[in-house]
Amino acid sequence: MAYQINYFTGSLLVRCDQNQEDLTKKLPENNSQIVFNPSAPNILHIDLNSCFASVEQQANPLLRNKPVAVVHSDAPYGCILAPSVEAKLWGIKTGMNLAEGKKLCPWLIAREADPPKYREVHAKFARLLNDYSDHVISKSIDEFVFSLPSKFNPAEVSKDIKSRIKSEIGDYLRVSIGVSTNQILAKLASGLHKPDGFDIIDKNNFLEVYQTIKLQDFCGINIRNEARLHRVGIFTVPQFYSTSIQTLTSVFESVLGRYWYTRLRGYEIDDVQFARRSFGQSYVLPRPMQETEWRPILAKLVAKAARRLRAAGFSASGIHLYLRYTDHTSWHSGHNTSNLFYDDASLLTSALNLYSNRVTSKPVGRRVKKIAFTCFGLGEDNGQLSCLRDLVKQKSLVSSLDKINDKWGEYSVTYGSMLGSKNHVRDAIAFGK
Amino acid sequence: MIHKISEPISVIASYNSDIRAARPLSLKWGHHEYSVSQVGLRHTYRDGITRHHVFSVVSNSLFFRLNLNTDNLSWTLEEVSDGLPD
Repeated sequence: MAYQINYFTGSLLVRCDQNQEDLTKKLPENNSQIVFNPSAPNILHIDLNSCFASVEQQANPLLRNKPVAVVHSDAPYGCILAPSVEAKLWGIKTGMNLAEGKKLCPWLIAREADPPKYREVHAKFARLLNDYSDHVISKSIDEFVFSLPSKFNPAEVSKDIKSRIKSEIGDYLRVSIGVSTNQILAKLASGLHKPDGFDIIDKNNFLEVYQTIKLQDFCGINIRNEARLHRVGIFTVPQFYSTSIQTLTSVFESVLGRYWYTRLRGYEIDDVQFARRSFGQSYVLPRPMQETEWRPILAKLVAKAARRLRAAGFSASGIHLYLRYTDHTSWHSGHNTSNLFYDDASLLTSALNLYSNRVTSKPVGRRVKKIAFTCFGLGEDNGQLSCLRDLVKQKSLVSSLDKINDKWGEYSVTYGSMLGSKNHVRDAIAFGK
Repeated sequence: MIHKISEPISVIASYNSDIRAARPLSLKWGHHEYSVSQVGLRHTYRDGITRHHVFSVVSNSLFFRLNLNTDNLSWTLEEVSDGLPD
């Protein structure tokens, strides 16, 4: 089993060898003969334009048609999570800090993120789309994908969806809809004309579209993959499309080459759901901190991850800790045991032990700016631990604490190790899936 | 300009059984009464077992964020804004 850590979200991405074999079997045979998928396009990708900012503009009509940025914090260094369509016209992008944004657009209006608002709109979208398909997949907080039964016309359905969104969810919310024969191309189509776009990519126009886009417009082709392609003389999407499967396999040095060869020809290989393999929490500290200062915050991250772990009915046998320092270096280490952990105290003790035992050099003054904690090696909580009397008591205590927090609100009862973390690790929505 | 507030507020609301939706009609803040001209969005969240309904409403040139606590049926004014940059 291969795994890698996603340092951005703090989650552990695991791909089983078994799953990779299954994907390979899906590839059509005689790859060299493949032409673009001749089927009628029926995969719809729906993208809520400038999601967080649009929802804020929907909630507050006085913000409409104005440059708005949803920020993690309205302090000058607060990270811009989502600029509105109008703010994007001023060159404001996700990831900038608020001070940079205000330099580009002095009239920029900042609003702190309000996750419950975005989750509610997401849930309304999901309910609406379920009227069109029984297999709607949420790709992220602002993206959905589903396949349309063949009796429906994608253009008419898209028009209907846009109209219903305005009347049933919010008159200021706009979506871009892309239609194609696979998920990657449907997503690409949804991004061709934003906001409020509608595009189809099929056997009739795919070459035309390929001539107008860049390699990085494909979801999955990042700067590193683009550099790989450049090394063999692939600089444009038409070149990418016309490259042989053998060359692509050598470019990506993996089965990814075969996948891209197939995706570019409109065949579906991404309709695979991977089971959850980890629970993680990460946090960028508001200022660089010494160990004594960030320990309570780590305790809170562990508590949040552990709560989600238990709520899903799992225990974890492995943990991973990642620290990023102000000097741009980082440290990370993982540990797997034969025991299953589920409570905050055990997971936190393991994390701190991991840090104490594995960090060999702790220079004075070295401060941390980001922490990510992940627990993996998930096992179903089947009650086998209960044969030991003290574990029964421990489990009962943890369950009681969870019930108190369910009833009276999160962090009504906490471990003392979290003291000092009150204003940190607020509710947030992760990017990506 | 945005003002974060947390103070009890008097609200007159209505419920329409045809569309099964409730909405604030007017609110009294300070010595002024504001009639609600538009409800931008209603969303909910839970704090423990208590469900809160948040109404984002506009009265002429002012935006109000009203929070209805369904446990004790009390209204709280959480935010007032004029939609202009800070």
